Amino acid sequence: MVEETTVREPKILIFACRWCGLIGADGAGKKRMSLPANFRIIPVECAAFVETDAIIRALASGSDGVIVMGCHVGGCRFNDANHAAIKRLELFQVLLEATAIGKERLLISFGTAHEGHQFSDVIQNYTTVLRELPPIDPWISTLSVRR
Amino acid sequence: MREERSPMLEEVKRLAKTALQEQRVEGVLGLKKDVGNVIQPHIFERSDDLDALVLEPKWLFAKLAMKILRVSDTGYRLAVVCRGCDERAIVELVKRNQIAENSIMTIGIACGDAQAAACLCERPYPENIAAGEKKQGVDPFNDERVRQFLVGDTSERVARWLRVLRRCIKCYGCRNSCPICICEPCKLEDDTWVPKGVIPAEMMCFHLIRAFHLSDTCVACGACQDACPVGIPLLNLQLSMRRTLTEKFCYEAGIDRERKSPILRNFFDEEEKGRDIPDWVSSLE
Amino acid sequence: MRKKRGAISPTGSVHWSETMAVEFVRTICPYCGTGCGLILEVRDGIAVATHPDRDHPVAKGHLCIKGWTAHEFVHHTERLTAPLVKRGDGFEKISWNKAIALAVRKLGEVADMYGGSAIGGFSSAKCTNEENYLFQKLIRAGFGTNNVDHCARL
Repeated sequence: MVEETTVREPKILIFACRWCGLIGADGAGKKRMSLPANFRIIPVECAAFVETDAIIRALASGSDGVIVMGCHVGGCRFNDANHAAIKRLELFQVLLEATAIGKERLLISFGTAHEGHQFSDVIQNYTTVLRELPPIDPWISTLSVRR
Repeated sequence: MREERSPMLEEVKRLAKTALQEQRVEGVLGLKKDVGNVIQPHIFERSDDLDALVLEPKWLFAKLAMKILRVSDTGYRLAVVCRGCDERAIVELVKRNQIAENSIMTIGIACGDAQAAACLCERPYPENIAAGEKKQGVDPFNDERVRQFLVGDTSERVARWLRVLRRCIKCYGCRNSCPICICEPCKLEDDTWVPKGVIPAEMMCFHLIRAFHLSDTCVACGACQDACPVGIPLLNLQLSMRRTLTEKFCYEAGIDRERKSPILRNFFDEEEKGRDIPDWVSSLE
Repeated sequence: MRKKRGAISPTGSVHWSETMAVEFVRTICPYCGTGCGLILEVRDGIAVATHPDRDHPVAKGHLCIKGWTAHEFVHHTERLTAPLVKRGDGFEKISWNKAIALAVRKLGEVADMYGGSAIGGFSSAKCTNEENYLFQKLIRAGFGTNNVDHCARL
């Protein structure tokens, strides 16, 4: 069982806000940095746009981890929307920890992914963290949810 | 148990009768002991009927009161015989504009020690106590039944949670009996979020979605747990979030009529109140 | 709140009655053999919601999904209101007398030709106990066969 976890690459789903988070991903591509291939990005208008139900569905569909990337707390394009986002996501981490799914499965990364190398660092560090976690498979009870 | 509560019962009856006679309300919602010793909820509209009022077993009326007020004529006022958790649920519903504040009156009763221990309740009394003594609540995190799910070794907790959640028969009893679950349409019935026809209910989708939708509104009444036919300890899903809200924002659902949930506010609004800004530095890389 | 309801009698006079607009009626779930107690919320004579009966010795305030929705079929718009006979691809309304006469004739023919065991009877958990008693009496004593069942067993 332990060997399976280290061999299989963890899959990451990223909700990146269009104004900050996505720039980093773009920048990483432009600089032709070598990035791991284990993530997918969903651009959203603002980090506050991300509802926790979507994060739950991401985890239930087989993602090992979810990252929400947004602007710096003082610098949200929509003034103070990411304050509510951060409070909500932190409370959601409490729920993930309470149900033993693990608060590490959600990474809240605000204001860090502006440059390509920052983006690449975030992904690689997070992949390392996820490799240490037990697999999420027992929580997914049906194959109908896996896409 | 019944003998112990007699003075409290008489006091409640007296208050309810006075409220009806003085025409401060048109009906009193409470439990009635009918012929054959059967107990059921009833809207008392005549003060003579109130002799049949009883206070046991624990029955929550917040959602019923909301539904009754929705269908009654304008100007109909209802008095509700309620416990601490019930009153908190009514406050939350008032905050969310589901019950008009001037159409409901609470006759608050405090729960005894045995009930508080059975519910692991921190606050077994309403803010406006009309009858009964205020008893000391218990801290649920001191009880082994709660700690074994929320605190400690992760792999053991995973096994425990999976074992209980696998029993779910998707009866929607938790959602139906929760006083806060009032959305129409409910997301749990939507195939996009919770796969249809899957029993036991898809664990993460059904239970986590429901748990998080209530995160800042849950009043820890235990109605979900009481209604679950397979005995899933649903209240444990909420206790950690409630504890976080109390510690970081000094917020408890159902206590302050005027204060809206901190999750809906930005940091600046709350800063004057001296609420702690969560340590968000830890969540950045 | 009490509401006045009027009904017109065959002589044309109006009969007023007062009912509570919201009443709670204790009953037993009609579906499976467990027999959980439930409380129907009745508004103006229509069952609109179900609540669990916390005082019931069997259910103790628990219900399954069928129990929680036990009120739905009572006034459902899709309930049959008249006997229907299949003609071609569709159904046609006929009178009760014709329907009973047709059933008697056709079932009798089958029973005469192939014996009573060629008939099978399917009743419903949504019928009353009395109706189910009559139905099984018809199948067992009338047709002389044991082929009787109802949806709660399936």
